[in-house]
Amino acid sequence: MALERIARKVPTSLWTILSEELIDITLNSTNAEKLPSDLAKTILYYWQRDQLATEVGLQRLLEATMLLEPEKTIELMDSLGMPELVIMLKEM
Amino acid sequence: MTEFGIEFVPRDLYWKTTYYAIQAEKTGFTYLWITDHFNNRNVYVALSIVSAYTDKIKFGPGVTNPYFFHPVVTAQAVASLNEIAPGRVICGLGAGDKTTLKMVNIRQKNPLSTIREAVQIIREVTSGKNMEFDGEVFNISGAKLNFRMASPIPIFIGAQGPKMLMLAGEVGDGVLINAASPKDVENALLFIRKGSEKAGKRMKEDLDIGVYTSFSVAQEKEKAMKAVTPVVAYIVAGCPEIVLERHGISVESSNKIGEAIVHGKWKDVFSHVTPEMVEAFSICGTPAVCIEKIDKLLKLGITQLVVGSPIGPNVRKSINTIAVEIFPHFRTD
Repeated sequence: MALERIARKVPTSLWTILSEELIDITLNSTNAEKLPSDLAKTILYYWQRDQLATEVGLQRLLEATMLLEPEKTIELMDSLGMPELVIMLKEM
Repeated sequence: MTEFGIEFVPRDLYWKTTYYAIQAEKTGFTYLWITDHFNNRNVYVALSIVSAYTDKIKFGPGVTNPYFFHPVVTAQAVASLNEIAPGRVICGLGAGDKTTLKMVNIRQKNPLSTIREAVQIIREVTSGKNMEFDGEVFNISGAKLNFRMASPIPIFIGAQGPKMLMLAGEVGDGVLINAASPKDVENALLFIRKGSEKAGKRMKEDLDIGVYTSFSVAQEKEKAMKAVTPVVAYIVAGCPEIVLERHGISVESSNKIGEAIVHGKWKDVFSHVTPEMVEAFSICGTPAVCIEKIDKLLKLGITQLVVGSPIGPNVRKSINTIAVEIFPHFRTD
């Protein structure tokens, strides 16, 4: 639920850049093998349909990066100028 | 028109390979090849999931070999894939990677006869025939698939040495030339032509001619170089002497690299691979440098340029770079 709220608060102007950065964190994570297969398949499903840069796509990507690389995810949100979302992520 | 292919190594987690495969399809690659080495994830498992997440891109093992897998098993595998993705399956076949074969003490015996016979067996078994075969290498008494195939599967032969190139021209539907330098490709084409003439086939019209390159593109040359070095090491270690000689590389250097790979001494591998080896066996550098090198290869008359591993230091970004900065130079549509 928290990630759904967070994804909903991301400005649409940042959807594309955020989705690309989150997917890079996911693909290049040294913890990549910890990504659950069902979440990986969901991400592939949205990617195939060009839906990663949407609220629901971002929610899934955030779920992945918070699992694999929480610190990098928070740093990214901070660098993109979303302090409110940084607080929400830290409280999770 | 030259088509572009891309190669992935299933050393990566399945979802990463599939992510890149979807990206390759979206960005306009026509072919997708997945390598086959016993110590990576299984090629057909990787291709199965790729087939489920893509709609257009043609794909296949690139390349499998008949030393690890009997040709009837390869025929079964590609025929099964063809059921999931009709008309999209291609089959790359080669004599195997010496380094990997050595790890399990498989000798690369009679490579020419082995490939010639394997092509015939795969072709006939996938066409639904009940096969009887008494060859120099394989002996089959009544092999038939219990399911039908809708369309034939083109067989591409991965080749580097003169005799294998000739054979590829003669019996393949396509050739995958393991090379990146125009000098090697030009030389390879001479032998492929001899083979295709022997079989009465026209180059390009009756035979796809692919160049399978080790590729690494990045905005910074050094990053591209670092990413490509381990792949060039494998190429040099498995390279026929005649090709090493053409580039002024000693067999001793090649053997040293091979030994370092077998023993997992990656620091040694990096120190033995020279910039000259990278230049000879890869397309590597900034987009502008890669465009220049690709252009030289395309002018030789090839039909497919395969962007092979590692693709770049960040695969996702490198695929986008290829699509945005490289493809427009070679496509008018």
